[in-house]
Amino acid sequence: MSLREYSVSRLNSVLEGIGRLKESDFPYPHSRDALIRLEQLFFSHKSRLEGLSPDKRPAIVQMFCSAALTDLFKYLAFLGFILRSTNVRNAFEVYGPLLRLSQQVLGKDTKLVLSSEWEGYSPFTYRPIAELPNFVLIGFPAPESSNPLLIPLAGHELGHTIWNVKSFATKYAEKVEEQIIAEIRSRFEEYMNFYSAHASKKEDIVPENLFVKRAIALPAEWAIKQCEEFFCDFVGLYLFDVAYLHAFAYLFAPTAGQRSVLYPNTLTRVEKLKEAAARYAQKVAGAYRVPEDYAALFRNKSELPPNEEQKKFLLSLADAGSNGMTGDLMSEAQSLLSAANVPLLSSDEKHRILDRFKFVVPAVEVKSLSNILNAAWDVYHDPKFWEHLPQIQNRQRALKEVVLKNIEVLEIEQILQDAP
Amino acid sequence: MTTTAATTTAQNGRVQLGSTDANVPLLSIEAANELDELIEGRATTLESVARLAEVLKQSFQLDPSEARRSFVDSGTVAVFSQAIDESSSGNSVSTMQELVQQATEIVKTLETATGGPTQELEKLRDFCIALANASTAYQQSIFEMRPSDPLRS
Repeated sequence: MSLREYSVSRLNSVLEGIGRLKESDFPYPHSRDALIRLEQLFFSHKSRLEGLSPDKRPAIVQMFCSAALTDLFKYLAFLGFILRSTNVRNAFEVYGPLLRLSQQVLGKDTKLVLSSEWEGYSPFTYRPIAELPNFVLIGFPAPESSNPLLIPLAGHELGHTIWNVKSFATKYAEKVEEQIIAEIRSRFEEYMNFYSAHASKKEDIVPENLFVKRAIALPAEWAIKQCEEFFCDFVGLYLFDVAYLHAFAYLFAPTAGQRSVLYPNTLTRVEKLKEAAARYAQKVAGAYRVPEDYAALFRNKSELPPNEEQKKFLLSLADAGSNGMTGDLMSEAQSLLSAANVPLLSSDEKHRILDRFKFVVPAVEVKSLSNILNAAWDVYHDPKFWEHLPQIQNRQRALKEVVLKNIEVLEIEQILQDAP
Repeated sequence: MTTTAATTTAQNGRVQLGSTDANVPLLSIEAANELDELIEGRATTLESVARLAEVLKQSFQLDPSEARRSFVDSGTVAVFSQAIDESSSGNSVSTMQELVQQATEIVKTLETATGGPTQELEKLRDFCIALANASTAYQQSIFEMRPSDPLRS
């Protein structure tokens, strides 16, 4: 068999698999839309390979085969993600409100796939998918996928789509590189330990130095990815207020695993969230109140091993690049979401909902998910909230059910409001 | 029928060589293939060749209709200079100015590929293959540095 035949055979298999997936009973059409886009992607790979002349140069055939194989690796997990969007464990009640919120920020053609994840214990994020530019992809870890208290983390995932659609990586690239170059200048001797041929004096560390520019490519890219994570945190916080902080702590505190170069370390994220909360609180009285000792819940992830000194140095440059951008990113999230007129937490509304929750009854006309979810976290943290209802054996289950019910009520009211 | 590699251009109107969310590797292979077809005397469109020229122009801010900015992102520099180093067609470069000059010449050659001599087209095709390799390696270098799953080898 030839390389090309192997590749076409693999593509036929995945296309057959997608064909079967398309027969699934999708609760919402966007999952199927995503499948169709991926089907087109793999069909294009197949057509390219089949269209090559028999005597095509092996180097070109190999690269087309490699591109197809790369996409198989890249999208296989995503196909499973789409399949799991049909699973009844998902909290389908939240789909409508989250789609509405996403479309309010990004426009009516925004699509949403809500699913669950078995690969990692965190809301699933995918590397940007050029084929699905306007899709918001939200996947909660499977054991928590019906837990509505974690919905605020969907704000973070929405942030990723905003980041890509608005091309913020391009917007911030120059500033990030400036920060990194300034950091290298301030640590010139250290830089020279690793890259002695790049410069003879501090003044040679300039953007026009080709060797420096090549050396900072990786840390600059890591820093941009870290900026994206900061931005997404700020989006989640702005949209869902302290409910975002509680959901973040619930899922990630204290910490787990080794640090990724693509993320700021945990304590830095928490510190920046606190700064963002202080900034956003200036505009809304009584809002964004970070719980006392919030940071004490967290620890940093373990750093890179000591034998990776050069990588550690590059990562420290990336950290400097991203940390210097957080003020801009907080403002970016705030101005963008403010312009979209997204509903924010109303303390009065939250208390009105709490009054209903006292009787395990959903409230009407609650106006936003944020109001419901912040009320929910207040109940979660108050062990005496249902003291007057001894028949409630499992507080957390009762809370989840009333919250999901309230989200359903919100969605029904929104549908009726939008009806002609 | 095939379609040109999807890039983020469809979504935001701009893509750069170093963008990790752009499918520069596939676009470069498609361009290499179109040039190969041209060299072999077979009918072909040069859609991907034109698109790659556009990506290079955007990456190096070469469009004369735009106000000239000096910023070229480091990812673009890393990918392009590696492609130049590995491509037999390229001279080695040691300054940013030389790199931009190389990019300008390659864009010009891509834009006039139809009437180019075979030897020049072959160089250009080999450069496109080197560019595909360089951008693939660059993207992998970024994402493969995530911590590995402790339960997987």
